[in-house]
Parts: sequence; structure tokens; C-alpha cells
Amino acid sequence: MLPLLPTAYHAYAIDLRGFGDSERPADSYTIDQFATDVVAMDAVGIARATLIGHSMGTFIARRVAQIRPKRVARLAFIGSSITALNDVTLEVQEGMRPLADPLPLEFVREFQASALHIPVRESSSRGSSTRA
Amino acid sequence: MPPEPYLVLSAPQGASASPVAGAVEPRVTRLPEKLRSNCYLWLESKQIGHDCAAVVAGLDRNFRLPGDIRSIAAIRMRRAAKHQREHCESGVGPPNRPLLHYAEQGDPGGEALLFIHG
Repeated sequence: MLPLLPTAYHAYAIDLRGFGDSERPADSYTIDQFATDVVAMDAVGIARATLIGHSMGTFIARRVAQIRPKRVARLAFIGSSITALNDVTLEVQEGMRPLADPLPLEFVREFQASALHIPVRESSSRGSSTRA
Repeated sequence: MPPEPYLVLSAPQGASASPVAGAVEPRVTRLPEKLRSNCYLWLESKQIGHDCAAVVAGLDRNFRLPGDIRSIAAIRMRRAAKHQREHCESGVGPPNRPLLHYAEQGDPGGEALLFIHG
């Protein structure tokens, strides 16, 4: 989405702990901790921000709004639900329970593809697995 | 009350972006040029045992906390930042302080949008 944004906005895209180029500490993968990590972005001088959350990110954004309401200008949710305990997430949890780390790449791609509006292109660097 | 850490780091050109031993190496990305992706924050962790100052905000270009530069809190943060800079320059990060990676683009004075992935 970022390339499509007007440069008049100052956009930040974070990798939550355990994702992307962020580190993978052994603990604290909770909505509360994720929200605290987002609040850490205060350090870059953001007075107020519009939070745009996708899927799990929507629950994190809500929690940030709870703990730092004055720092949140607006909330925008993509692919969210009223509660994280719904039929879809419970089914996903059930499906993931028997899986071990590293997760099969096929599972990861299928899971992510299911959450996107447009088809996902095949990866140019295919591996057999990825870490959770 | 959430912890209030944090040091803003920009990875030096051509160098490993993470000063923490064992950290994930930055990936080679094909991001648009306007996207700046070499930005990291130290995070607080529930893992205990680190002895670094807990409150840090901003080094170099990212030190821009409007209006409070002369405040005691800002002075404390600058001192803590210096302390952590020493960690960074030595190539060893503060113990048990994970790094958060983020990318940014656009006008620094523009309306802030913060994307949180799923």
C-alpha cells in the first residue's frame, strides 16, 4: 500500500516482534506487548497518528487506542472482526496446533493468501519452510 | 503503565543494520526508493537482567521531541541515548532489548499513518 500513498503523508510500517526484520525474542507475543511495541514509535516523534491495522493488527490498534487514546487520530481496520475469538480464528488455531516450528511454507502461503483480496504471486525464492 | 524505552537507530550504509549479536540480518528488499527501511527501535522486553537505561528517545535525525528539548526528561533521555550509542558502536546491543524494524516514507511534517500488519 505504501507506494500508492501520497507523499504528503508520513507513513510508517512496522515489523512487529517476531516478524520481518524485527527481532524474535522468546517472550511476550501478546496483544498487550505488541501494542506497547507500537507505542514505542513515540520515540520517532509522532505526536498523533492514524493507525491502520490489518487482521491481528486491528486488535493491536484497538489496544493502542485504549492505552494511548490521545495519540491516536483515527483507526482504520482491514479484515477485522468484533472479537478475536470467532469461528475463523478458532479454526485456524485448531489447524495450527499440531504444526511445529518451522512452519511449512505451503501453509504460510495458503494462510496469507486467504487474507488477501488479490491473488498472491508465486515467490521467486521458494524454500521448504519458514519460521513462525 | 507501559515501559518507555527506546532508542531510534538508523543502520549505517553498507553495514549490518542490527548491532545486536545474533540478530536477524536485514533482508535485501525491493522497496520503492521513497521508502526508507533501515530504521530500528530498541524495545523493552519482559526478559529481565539488562542494565541499560530504560528511557531513550531518538538519536541523530530522529531526535525531535518538540518543545521539551530543554526539559529534564529530555536531558535524561539524551544521556541514556549516549549510553546506548556506546553499546551500538561496540557492536553489542543492550542485553535483552529486542529491535523493532520499521520503514517510513513521505513528508516528516505530514499526517502520520502507522500501519500494523496482521
